[in-house]
Amino acid sequence: MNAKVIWAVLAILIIGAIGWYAFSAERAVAPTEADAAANTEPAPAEETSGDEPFAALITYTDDGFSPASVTVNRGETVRFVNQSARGMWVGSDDHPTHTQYDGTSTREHCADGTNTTGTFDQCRAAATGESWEYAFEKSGTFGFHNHMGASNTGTVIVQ
Amino acid sequence: MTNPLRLPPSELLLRLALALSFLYPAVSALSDPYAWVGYFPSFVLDLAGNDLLALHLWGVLEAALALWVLFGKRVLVPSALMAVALILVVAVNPEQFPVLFRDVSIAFAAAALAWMHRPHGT
Repeated sequence: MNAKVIWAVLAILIIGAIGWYAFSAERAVAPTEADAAANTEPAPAEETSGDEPFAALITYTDDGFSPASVTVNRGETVRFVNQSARGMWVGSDDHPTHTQYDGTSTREHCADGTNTTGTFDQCRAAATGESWEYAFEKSGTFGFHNHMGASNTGTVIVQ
Repeated sequence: MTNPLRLPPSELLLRLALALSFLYPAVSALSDPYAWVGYFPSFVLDLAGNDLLALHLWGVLEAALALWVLFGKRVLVPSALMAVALILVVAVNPEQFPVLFRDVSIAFAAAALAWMHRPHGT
């Protein structure tokens, strides 16, 4: 058989295999202005009613997460607020699979922008001004990062 | 155009390794862009003005390099560019080194291919 035919078939098979695997992944969901308007959380309740809906507040700016490390008790909630000019998608390390918290990957626990298993993964990008909360139900030290800017990282220590 | 079938097996394997490592991100970014855009430093995204535009332009470049290194001539150029690109990816994402350390290995493979094709080299 002509070598060119062999290589054409091989190239098609390789590209087809790569394409099949790549497109079998769930699509990531980008933030929209409507999402931001619908999901922006109100100001922390302790400022208005004295309640404590979250134990720690982490702000995401263009310089990264601040504070980069917080310590909470098991069962407590951490709120992440996006005050950067970019999207914020908080996810457990490692990037991009987010498997550290419970061993499942984004392909397994994110579907159409929704977290289907309750793991430490926002599963969608929050627009500027939007926030996201997560209640840590198990103890440990959990690294996280912004899925849309993986060099920005932090740590939540759950006692 | 080079017929890869006529290459020594060791060089063919090197070229295949590099081509695959550059083709997969380019194709995967079409369906899961935010798994890849996170590796871009923000100043690059700011320069492009649009995250996905930057991502897919980079994807086109990756695919071109992959095809060049697999089928093209003067392989010194794409393999050297690949080595530099891989090191840059690691350099701008030091926090992700536990994952990206493999890029250093691939960069060495690219450097080896470049070395094989250096002027008057063997």
